[in-house]
Formats: sequence, C-alpha cells, structure tokens
Amino acid sequence: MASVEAQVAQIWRRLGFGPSPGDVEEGVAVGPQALIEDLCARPATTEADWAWPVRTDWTEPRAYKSRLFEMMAGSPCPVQERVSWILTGLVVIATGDHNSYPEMKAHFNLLRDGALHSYADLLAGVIPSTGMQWYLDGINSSRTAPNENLARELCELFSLGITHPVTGAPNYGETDVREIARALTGYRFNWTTNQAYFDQTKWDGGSKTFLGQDRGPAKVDEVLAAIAAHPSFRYFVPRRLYRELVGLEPDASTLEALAQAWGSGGDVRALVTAIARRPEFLSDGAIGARVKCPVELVVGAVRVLGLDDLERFSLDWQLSEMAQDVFRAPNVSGWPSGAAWLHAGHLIQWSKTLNNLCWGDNGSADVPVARQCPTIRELFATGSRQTGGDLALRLAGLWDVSPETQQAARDYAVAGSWTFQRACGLMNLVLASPEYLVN
Amino acid sequence: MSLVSSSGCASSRPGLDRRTFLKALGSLTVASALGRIELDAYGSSGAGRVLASGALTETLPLGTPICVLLTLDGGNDSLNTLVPVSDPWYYDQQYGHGALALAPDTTLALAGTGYRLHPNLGWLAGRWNTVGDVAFVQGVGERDRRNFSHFDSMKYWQTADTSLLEPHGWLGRYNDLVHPASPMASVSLTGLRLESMGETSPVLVVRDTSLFQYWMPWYDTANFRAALDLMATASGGGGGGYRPQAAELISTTFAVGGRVRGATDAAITAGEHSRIAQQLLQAALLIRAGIPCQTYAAAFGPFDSHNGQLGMQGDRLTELNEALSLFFAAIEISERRGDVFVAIVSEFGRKVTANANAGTDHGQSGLAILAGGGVARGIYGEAPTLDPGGPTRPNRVHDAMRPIVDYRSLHATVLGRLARDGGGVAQAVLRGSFENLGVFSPADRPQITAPPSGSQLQRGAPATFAWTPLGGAAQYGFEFTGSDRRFANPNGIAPDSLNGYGGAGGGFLVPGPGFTAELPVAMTPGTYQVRVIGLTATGQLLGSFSDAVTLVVQ
Repeated sequence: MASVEAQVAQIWRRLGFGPSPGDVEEGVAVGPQALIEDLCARPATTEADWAWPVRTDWTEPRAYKSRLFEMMAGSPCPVQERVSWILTGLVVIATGDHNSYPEMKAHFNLLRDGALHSYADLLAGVIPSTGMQWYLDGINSSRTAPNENLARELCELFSLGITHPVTGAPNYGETDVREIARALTGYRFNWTTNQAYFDQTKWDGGSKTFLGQDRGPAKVDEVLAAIAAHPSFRYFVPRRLYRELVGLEPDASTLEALAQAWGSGGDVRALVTAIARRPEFLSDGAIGARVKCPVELVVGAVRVLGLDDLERFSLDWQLSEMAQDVFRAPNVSGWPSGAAWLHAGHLIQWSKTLNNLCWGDNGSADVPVARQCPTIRELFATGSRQTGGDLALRLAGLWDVSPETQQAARDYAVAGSWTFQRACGLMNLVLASPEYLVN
Repeated sequence: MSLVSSSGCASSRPGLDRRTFLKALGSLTVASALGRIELDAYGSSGAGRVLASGALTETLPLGTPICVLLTLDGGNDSLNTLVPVSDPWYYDQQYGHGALALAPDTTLALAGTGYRLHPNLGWLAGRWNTVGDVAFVQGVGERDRRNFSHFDSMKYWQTADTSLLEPHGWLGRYNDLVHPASPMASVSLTGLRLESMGETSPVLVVRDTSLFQYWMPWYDTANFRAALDLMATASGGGGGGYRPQAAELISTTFAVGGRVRGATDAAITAGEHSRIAQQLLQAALLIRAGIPCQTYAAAFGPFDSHNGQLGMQGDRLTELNEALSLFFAAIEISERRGDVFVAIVSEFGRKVTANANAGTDHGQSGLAILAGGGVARGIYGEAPTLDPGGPTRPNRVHDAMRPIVDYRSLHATVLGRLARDGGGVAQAVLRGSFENLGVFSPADRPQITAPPSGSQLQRGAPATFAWTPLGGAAQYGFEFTGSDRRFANPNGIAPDSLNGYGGAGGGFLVPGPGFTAELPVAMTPGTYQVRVIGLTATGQLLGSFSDAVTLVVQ
C-alpha cells in the first residue's frame, strides 16, 4: 500500500505536472481527498493570466512556448494545464504546409479556454477554426467532391471512436463519413485576413443522411449535434481521460459512472473530478502505470527545481530533440504513450536536457535571483553528506522509491565533500532515476 | 572464404574438419560414408538467454539476411507510383485518376513491363533496368474489413493481425522467436515503432549513432555512474507499473551505447539529407558495423494526400528516391551488400477518383516495393481492375480498389527471407499460413530432402540425412546446432559460430549428398537444427547453407 506521501505526489503528477518542493508535505497535512477537491475546484485561468509575449520578430514563437511551459509549471489551476495538455493530443492540429505559429497559438487558446467546460462547445469552436480546417483539409472541400479527412477524424479520433466501447458495434459507416463530409463543405480561406470562413455558395446544401437519421440540409452545427447525441459520445472522451489520469482501463461500471458525470454536453471538469474521486485513482496499480512523455519530464523537472525565466533554456528546442515539439504532434492521433517513450535514445536525450537544467546555477551570490535554482540551493543549504540523498528524493517528490534508488542517492551524497556541485549532481541523479521516468 | 586450410585438415575458423569435430564430440556415433565418426552433442543450455548475453558483443554473421522496413506513413497513392499507363481507365476523367493521372511521357520506363514509374523515382527505375533486384507487389491490403482508418490500417500492417488488440509488432515477434531478449535485435530509426516491439526484444531507437551517449555530469562522474548503475538494478519499493522497465532501460542504454557509437562513419553521413535519407544512412552505419540486428524500421511521411497530391507525393518520392540511392551506395561498398534488402509498405493506397482539393482520400489496395539482396526482378501480386464496373462502381469499395493479395503475404515473404527456413518461422510469427510471394530468388544451395523438418528422432537409432547435390560441390559441410537452438544466420554463407559449428553445436565434412548416422544415447534430448553447404575439393564454400531442418531428438 502506497504511503500517504506517495499518494499525494501521485495526485500532483496526474492532476498537474508533479509536485513542487513542499507540495507533498502540504497535501499530507490536509489529506489526499481534500487536495483532490481543492485542485478540481480551482477557477480556470484566462488569456489575461497567460500573458503571452508580444514581439515583433521571429523570437516570438519561442518566447510563446517558454511562457506556455511556465504556465504548465506554475499556473494556479494545474488541472486546467493538465487537461489542456491532454487535449493537444486528443483534438490535434500541427504545423505544416499551412499552419504555423498563429494557428497553433489560436488552437491552444481554444483548448485552454475550453479545457474545463463543455466538450461539445469546445468542438464547436475547434472544427470551423482556421487551424483545424487547414490541418484536415476542410478548406476548399466542395460539394462536387467533398474531402473526407475532417469528417472521418472528427468521428474516429475526436468524439466517438470506431466502435461502441461496450457493445463493440460500429459507431458509423463509410456512408456516414461521406455524408458528414458533405455537411462540412463550404469552408474557404481569406488570404488577406489569413482566416478560414464559411461560404454558403460552396457548401453542399442538399439533404444528408448520417448517424441513422435524415438530417436535412445539415451544416457543421447539425453534425456536432448528431455526434453529441450518439450513444458512444458519452463514453469516448471519458474513457480516454480515465486512461490519461488513472493509467488503467475503466471497467464497464466505471465507464457508466464516468458517462453520468460527463452528461449530455461533455462536462470536462465534472468528469475529471469524478475520475479523481474514484478509489483506483490512488491505487497501487495506478502509481507508475504511465510513462512520462518529454513534456511531462521537462515541466515536472521545472517544478521540482523551481526554475523561472525559462526562455534561456531553449526548452522548445530540447523538446524537439526529444521528439515532442508541442506544435508538431506526429499525426492526428496525437502523441505516443506508455512504453513508446522507454527506449535508449529517449533516455539519452533526457540526460542531455537534465544536464542543461541542473547545472545552470553555480550557487554564487552573483547569480540574479531569476536565474537561480532555488531547490538546489535549498538542498545545499539544508542538506549534508548524511541527509542529502533522502532530502533530494523528497524535494523531487519521489516517495516509496526502491531500496536501490534510495541507496544510490545516499551513496552519491556521501561520496565526497558536500559542495554545491554535489547538490547539483544529486538533483540530476534523482531526476534520472527510474522512479522519475514513470508517472 | 575457405573452411579448410592449405593442409586440408585444420582450418582457421576452426574449420569443418573431421578431427576438430571429433575432438569436440561427446559420444554421438555416426555411421556415414566417411566411416564411423562421432558427433558432438554438447550445448544443452536454453537458446534465448544465451544468445541475449552474447548479443552485446556479437557480430551478425555475414550472409544473414537483413530487412530495412520502410513505411510510407499516411497512405501512398499506388496508382501514381507504379503507373498503369496502358490502362485507359487510369486516365478516365470521371472514374479514373483524371487530372491527377501522370502522362506516359512524364514517367520513367521499366524495361519489360507495361508500367512506368513516377518521374521522381529515377534511382529505382535505374535499379530495375540495370541491377534488377527490384520487385513491385500490387494489390496488397487488408481484404475483409474495409477499414479506411489510418490508425487501424497501420495496426493491421504493424502487427500482422486484424484484432487491433495485438500489442507486439511482427518484426518484434520475429525477434522474440529468433533473437529473444537481444537488446539490439530490433532497431528503429524513427521513434518507437509498433512493428518493432516484441515481448522480450526491446526496440533500440537510434537517430544518430554519433550522439548515442548518455550525458554524465562533469562533476564526480564516476560516483554518478555508480549510483545510476545501482538504480538500474531496482526491483523493490512501492508502486510498479513501468518502473522495472525504466530501471532496465538505464542499463541497456549504457550497454549498447558504445557499440552504436562505434558504428559512426562521417564519410557515409556527410551532407544535408532529408529525414528519410538520414534514417536509412543510420541503418547503413549499423549494418556495416555488424550490429546483431536483422530488422530495421524506418518511416516517413506524410503521404496522406487529401490536398494537392501531385506536389505532395512528388516531394515525398523525391526524398524516398534520394534516400534509397544513398543507402544502397553505402551498402554496395560493404561486404553485406548481398544480404540487405529494403521493403517499402504503406497502410493503404488511395481512392481512384480525386476530391475537390486535387487530392485523394483514403483507399484500400496498395503497393509494396522490395529492393536489394536476393530480390528477383518482377511485378508480383495482382493489380485490382480499374474498371469501375458501371456507374455505381461495383468493382470498388467506396471508390477504392479492392485488395487482392492479403497484406500478410508480404510479411510472410519477408519473414521467409529473414528466417530462410521454408516458412515455419513465418507461420509461427504470423500465427497462420500466408503465401510466400516468391520475390526472393533461391540462392545456390542444396536442399535437405530427408529427414523432413519436424521429424522426431530417437537416440540410439540410426537416422538418414540426404540432400540435393549442388553443381560444383566436391563435398558438403554438415552443421548442427546445440539443443534447443536455431541458426542465427539462416542460409548464411558461413557457419554459425554461436549456435552451430564453433559454438554450441558442431559440424563435419561429408563427401556425398547424404549419410546415415546413429544418434548417441547420451545426446541431450531437445530440438536441433541441421543444414548443409557445398564445398569445393579445396574447401571453398559454394553459395549458401541450405534451409535448416528442425528435428526433435527424444
């Protein structure tokens, strides 16, 4: 049975990007359930809080991503950050021939704004958006030869899945895809405003039949309404979020309970709360049942180390080296997960990023506060050769570690004199441990 | 190479000479044309783990087939790759490729066929027309499910299974069977690919051999490393899930790092290249270095040409063509040039008629291409008809060409080449029997005619071995594995120093195409493999080893 500390750390990893130093101790004081209620109830931040950088040159996208990682690490509403991140791998667009920074930023804004509200409303915002219309070839899709790409992925990946999760029956057929593609025609691109727009004259105004009914001269709204009324809509995203947040597969009765919380419009906050309240959320089987993807490794380490002013670390470049440029999901099904991240090349890239993150502060008083690493300074100041190993694990939020990992941290702490460099090496070591690699 | 030194008796490997063989032997007495000789029967340890521990230093034996699987992600338009210029339906404006169709004079000739090749595939056309080791397989796809989803179709191809639930890939399962738990048996050049994932074979992802090094802090490196090594042995503690795998990964990373970095050769990788060319050049480095891996996975895209197909596919095929030319140039100057082939697949082809965006939507039947060592030039499979069959297009599935060849035939063909065993390994990996398309030309080698594979032999009883004679062979080398082992280099051109002669098994020379031997009573019961190779009178090896025969000794 996991210790209370390990359970609290688990709450922070799954509802946010892991604990900062002190989070676990505070969580233990109030208790895991109270912490869950607190995190799930926190008000979402808005674009004013995000304070995206405005620049007039090519550095803005990089600054934007740095600010994005700062929000992921430091937002007062960690659940919103966690869910927004999950959504970037669920309702996917990526840069490419047409989409670049402005479309990605707009898309991420939609996901961040909608992260804790109605999923049906979120889709209503995303599907006609310029980024999605370009990404899945909605633009210029016409009545004479409608493009099926958006129609298919909307059903398969964004809302329903191919089959019903309980009965296994197909959720839709090829005729449905074609008919929905007809309903989604009419979008064009204005090269002056750089925005997608709807052109009634290019839209297929004929009657369509999809998802079991004659839908008349349906457009995007009718498509989304039909999808929201489909029997699989209440299961698809709940199952996905359960897998993401718990790391296990929900059984039929659990899925039914999640569907109740989800409701007809897809209440994401209610769903996340219902998932986090379930006993299996903190079960031993759930702890370590996921593998940290590169963004989780990096943002988690930023929280552990207490780093600020992230632009100096070029984290966008480092993440791209780790095969997770946040603007470039590999395809419309999003990011790999689980064991897909456990390979030697991945570990090597992580070792390089860790080197960058853990050795930027030399401990001197001359270093400006914004460039200091407060956690390593705390470790150096309050730890010693004898206590440093255990303290480093605690600061990293790693509880119930294996005896080997604990011994390794202690061994390294006592291996030489207690210097600031040893404190750097120690934090580097615990962030390279098997316990940190999993989530 | 020679297995027998100038004295005709000893050899350098050491050779397949009778005396060395006898010395190594226990008590297996063989009545053969050579008189009575004794056969070695040591090496009774289990196959997999032994191979695994040796695999960190092992060099893949020369003559071992190597596959580079190259996936065109997104669904490549087969019609504009191998272009059916003589089919009027292809050019039909209403039911054919219409405005997307490539005019014959813009495409490249393929000698001896009615097809032409996409204009950007110049290297491939040249290879067909000169060296000739290129095969096209038409009409491949999943035939029953009519599934147009990328992700399901990719899973079909990657797992060779239609359940969508199979967690392991077909190359991974091959390695589970033939190179179990080997840390380098399954290489991917592009992230962790499902096709490479096995149950005991981890995927080794290599993006750049020269950078394949764990970065240690500059401060007290030795103790940092010692601490990491200790963490890598972690087994206890709370929680479970992926943590043991993460711990094991740390030791694997250090174990294979030096080997992978050692493969670096800047002369091969110099210059700016496309993503797929970089992947294939990394594969070339590892192949040249003898990394013990038969299966490399590469992939690139997007080929999902819903929009502006002519430009998009053209760019991708330019990249593919450059990658193939660089890769084979690097392999040509290697002693493994005859061993390596590339298999190019895609999850599906595309619909026949275009959509409004000058693109095509997801299709069904597709095209596979094989090129390199052992490939016999030809167009294989069967092209689905382009005749729609009438205005309702009954000959198509939602306007897509119907697959004719089960896609798993492609897997069976590749596995047949990798295992070179007559189909048993392919059947085990694919959990079913699928047609070998005959793309690979049989090498010069004998065929064992008796006993048949799977035979059960009794210790203490005589067994007769026979094989087809090989032209030019004055004698034959007979090789057998240790118990419960398989040859690591099926149909190799050299003995298997790990599982066969010089390793856990043994071998000897036989003057004619067969002999009868009495299996010793003291022999370890188990599964053995045997095979033969032809030699000249002076001990020069001819061609390659026969297909192995698997025997159960009771």
